[in-house]
Amino acid sequence: MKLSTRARYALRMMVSIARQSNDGKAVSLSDVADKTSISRRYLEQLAIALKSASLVRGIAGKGGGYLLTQPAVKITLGQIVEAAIGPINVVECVLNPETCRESEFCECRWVYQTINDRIIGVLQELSLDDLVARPLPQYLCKDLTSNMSGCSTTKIQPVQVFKED
Amino acid sequence: MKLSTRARYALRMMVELARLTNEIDDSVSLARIAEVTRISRRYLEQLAIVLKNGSLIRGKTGKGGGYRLARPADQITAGQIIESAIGQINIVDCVLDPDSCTMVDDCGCRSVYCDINSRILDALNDLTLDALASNHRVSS
Repeated sequence: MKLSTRARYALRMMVSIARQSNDGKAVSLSDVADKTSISRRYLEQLAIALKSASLVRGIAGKGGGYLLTQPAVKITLGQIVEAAIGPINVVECVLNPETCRESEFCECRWVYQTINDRIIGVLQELSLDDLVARPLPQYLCKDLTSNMSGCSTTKIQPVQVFKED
Repeated sequence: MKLSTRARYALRMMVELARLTNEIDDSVSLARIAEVTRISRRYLEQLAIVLKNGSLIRGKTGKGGGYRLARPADQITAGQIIESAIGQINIVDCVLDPDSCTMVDDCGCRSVYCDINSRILDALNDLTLDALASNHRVSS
């Protein structure tokens, strides 16, 4: 189970636009490509999806590029990820129960529903500003170490997730 | 972002194994599980190997042989089952393996991935096979 590259790149792209457009000037995709090491071609595709979702708007002409349509604090990570890859749906039956004839009496479906809810929960709680406003993202990471052993910028041991017998 | 079929089938297999073991208090054949779950026997055989390696089930050979849970269903979590089937939950490689990305040191996004990962784990570790098999909905 992986979060797709498309979703990760969309987040990275939005962080880059938010950081660079602080002075109100549109940010060119070349600048974003420089900062993020994502290819311009890929960014162009993402820009279309993000524009369709009204998260960025394009400015044509000299000095053109992209701007956020609203303050970063009002854009949730969920909106960005959804614009990039559609609704979070870890198993088809979660959003579309009719795709499986066992949905009604399936014991497992609510596990998938729970996983889905947790993922969406994180993405809706955090705004783009949460990512942008932290010059040292390790702060955020450190907060998380209380929930999860080993989330630091140094090499971590694989998390001992499951109890020994 | 999808949970793999392998993980889903492992859960389903364990749920049925827990139920059938309860009913007959004996080992359950893969043929019987295949019937109930509609998962192919061949697939179940593969899953049985990894679930056995994860010490979640025990095999019994010979006539009347099959599989049973290695311990009571309330001591087995959905997390253990899924980990046995597909390895550790790791929604972005950098979460468990920071060396896999050169940007880890100044990546604002990684903390989000860590957070998502740990919440999925929390949820899965809270769910026991017993709760699943008895279809007792735990409020999350």
